[in-house]
Amino acid sequence: MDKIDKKIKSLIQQDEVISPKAEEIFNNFFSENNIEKNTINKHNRVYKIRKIIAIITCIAGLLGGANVYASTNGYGNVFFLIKYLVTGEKTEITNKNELLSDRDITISYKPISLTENLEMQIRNLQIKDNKATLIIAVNEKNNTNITPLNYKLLNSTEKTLCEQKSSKKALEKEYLEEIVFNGITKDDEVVKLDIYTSYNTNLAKITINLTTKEIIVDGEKQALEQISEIELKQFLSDKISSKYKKSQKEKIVLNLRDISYCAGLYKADINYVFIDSDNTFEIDYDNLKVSALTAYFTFNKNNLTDMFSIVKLEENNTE
Amino acid sequence: MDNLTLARKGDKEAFSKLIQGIKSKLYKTGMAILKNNDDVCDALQETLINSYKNIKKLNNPKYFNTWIIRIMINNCYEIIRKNKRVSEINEKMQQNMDNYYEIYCEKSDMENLLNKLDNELRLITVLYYYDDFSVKHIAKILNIPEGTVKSRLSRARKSIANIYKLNEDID
Repeated sequence: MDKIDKKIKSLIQQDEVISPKAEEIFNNFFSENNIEKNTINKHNRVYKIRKIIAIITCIAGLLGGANVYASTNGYGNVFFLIKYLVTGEKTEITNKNELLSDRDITISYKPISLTENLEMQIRNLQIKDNKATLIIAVNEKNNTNITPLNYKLLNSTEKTLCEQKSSKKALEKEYLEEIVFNGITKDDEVVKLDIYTSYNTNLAKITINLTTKEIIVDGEKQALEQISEIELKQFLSDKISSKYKKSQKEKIVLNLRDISYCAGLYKADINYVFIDSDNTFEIDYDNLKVSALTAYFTFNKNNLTDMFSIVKLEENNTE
Repeated sequence: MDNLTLARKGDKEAFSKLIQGIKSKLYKTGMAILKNNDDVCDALQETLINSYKNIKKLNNPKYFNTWIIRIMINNCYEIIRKNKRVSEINEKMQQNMDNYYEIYCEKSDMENLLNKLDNELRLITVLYYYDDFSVKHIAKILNIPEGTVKSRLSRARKSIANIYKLNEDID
């Protein structure tokens, strides 16, 4: 076997030919300059790439810093700042940009009924130094075992901006909540407010549009669409009549001023009068006594006989 | 001081002398894997630069040959990996070229011999018979067990003996 190995070895090792191209590579490499050049070229390439990356990073950092400066100083962004520095003209900031400057946006004084005994008004959004404060008024009409509430604020992409517990003091019935948060940007047209009970059950989800100031209670649209106003009016007429009608001759005329829904509970603001059913064409408008009340009720679409159930009838001031 | 010690200290001339002594082994090893002169030249270029840059890291000078051949093999495999996507197309072209060369060009004895061997036998043959590495070193270079090296060498030996009818000559 050794003989075969020797024979193969001699056969193979006779051949020392390498291609001219490979020979050229060796020759180039052997010349001192080229060793340097080859190495330096490779180093230079890496160095150049690193240099470019460093320059890009510096520019990005500068632009980022300038953008923060520009936005906090009312220029909107860095490009408007540059424009201001060059031309001296300050660019008018749009509504969207205003969200980042000092503002006090009145949202709504319309109450939202979380339960028949608990109302809420989402009143203001104050923005100062990129910090936002949402001011909410809470009114507890009677004792309720679900307060103090917990609040969670989210932006339009469902990112949590803050979680906060109620500031309610022990015996307070009417109080203001100030929910402080940051992280809101000019791209956030809405903020979402999740309200939780003291035992952390979700009570309501409310979307506040910061541009239109519209407040959308989660599920309200669908809840309102599924009830029939005719049937509701009939139901409320029967309920109010049975409670307030003084004689069989009286006939109720009822007007639904407003109807809203939150957290499974409907609220209807109603005006009503009782008229004499024998003289419906001779109404004494001067002496007509219009009453107002708020009805809290639930709706059960699967129960055909008792679709609505009154939770509470609350008398308002008589007009 | 020997060339290797000088090369490790950054002496370019000493490094060149080291390469001069092993250049044909580097080339043949590359050809055994890649079978393509252009690809081998690319691998050589990378190997020369990498080894020149990293020779200071070579702890045991007596393993210089093993070390640099290992770098060459790695660079060849890297080129195979890079070329993998187009290799199927090239393979057909290569077959046509091989046929052309067989007909119109004279190849060296060694190339003719190696081309008749399987891929895995070709590299082992070059490392053992041409580069003069021991079975132990080849196992280290290729990261395979010594037994595998031996069995492949045995197969290569038989093939070469058959091709050149060496048994008859020796007998």
